[in-house]
Amino acid sequence: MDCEESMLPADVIRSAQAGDDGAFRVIMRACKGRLLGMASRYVQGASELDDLGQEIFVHIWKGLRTYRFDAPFPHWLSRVAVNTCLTHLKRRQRRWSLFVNSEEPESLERIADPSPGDPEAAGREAAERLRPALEALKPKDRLVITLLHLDERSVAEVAELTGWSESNVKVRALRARLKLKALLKEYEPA
Amino acid sequence: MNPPDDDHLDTLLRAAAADSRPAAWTSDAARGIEARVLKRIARPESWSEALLSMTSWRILAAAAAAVVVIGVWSGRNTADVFNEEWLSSHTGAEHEDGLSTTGLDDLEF
Repeated sequence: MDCEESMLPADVIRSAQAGDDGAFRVIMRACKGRLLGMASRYVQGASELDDLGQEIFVHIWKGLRTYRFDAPFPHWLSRVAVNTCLTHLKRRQRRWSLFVNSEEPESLERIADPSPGDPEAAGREAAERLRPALEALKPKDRLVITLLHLDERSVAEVAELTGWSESNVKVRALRARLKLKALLKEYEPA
Repeated sequence: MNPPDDDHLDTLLRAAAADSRPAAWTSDAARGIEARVLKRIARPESWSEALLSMTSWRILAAAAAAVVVIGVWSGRNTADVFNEEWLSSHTGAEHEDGLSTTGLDDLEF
């Protein structure tokens, strides 16, 4: 079963809203790929993704009764997932600022230039080069860069997922790009 | 490595979008997550979880509630010190137990 409106009948959603965990299991099974895939850009491994994924589904379970069938259910699920990812980023940043005074960016010298013949290695290396700069961005800036450039969503989709206006998404994305460029300059040896 | 310009940043972002590790993490984390979530929602939330999941306004609200409760409690205690009735009722209890010191002069040794 896929996480599509047509594949999640209203009676399954209503049963889950009434507290039927069997129905909720059906929803989780259908949508875990989509929601964990979205969340995977904000973590550094499967274990952290497992924690974040559980957090997302717990939030969905708690908020399920507020779903009024006025928007497609998969969109509502994605919005909850995006909000939970944003909270996760904020919390992580707060913990780091509490326990670490100055986060030293990981040395980039050890990361070789992307191998032209191996797209998989090139993707991994590019992600590792971006990681310290992305981690240093404010959570909302990181969210908008990730949704637009890594998940390759349109401005309209990002606006729908975040609840921000399209112009707000554009302005924030522009500012976030400038910050990201400055951070990359700072972290990369000249 | 050159400092990034716009093109460089776009190239880097496009290449990073093709990183295959998040997909691998997704399939690892997806395995059996339904059972872990159902187990989690079946048990009541612990105090530590509740505190960790607090957003800033909740912390402020909890702190404000604590201040009000402590204020009411300590205010009543402070008032009790100046409350003759409260003082006499508490000191009076000692008389009933026969532990009064007022009759010491009458005792014969």
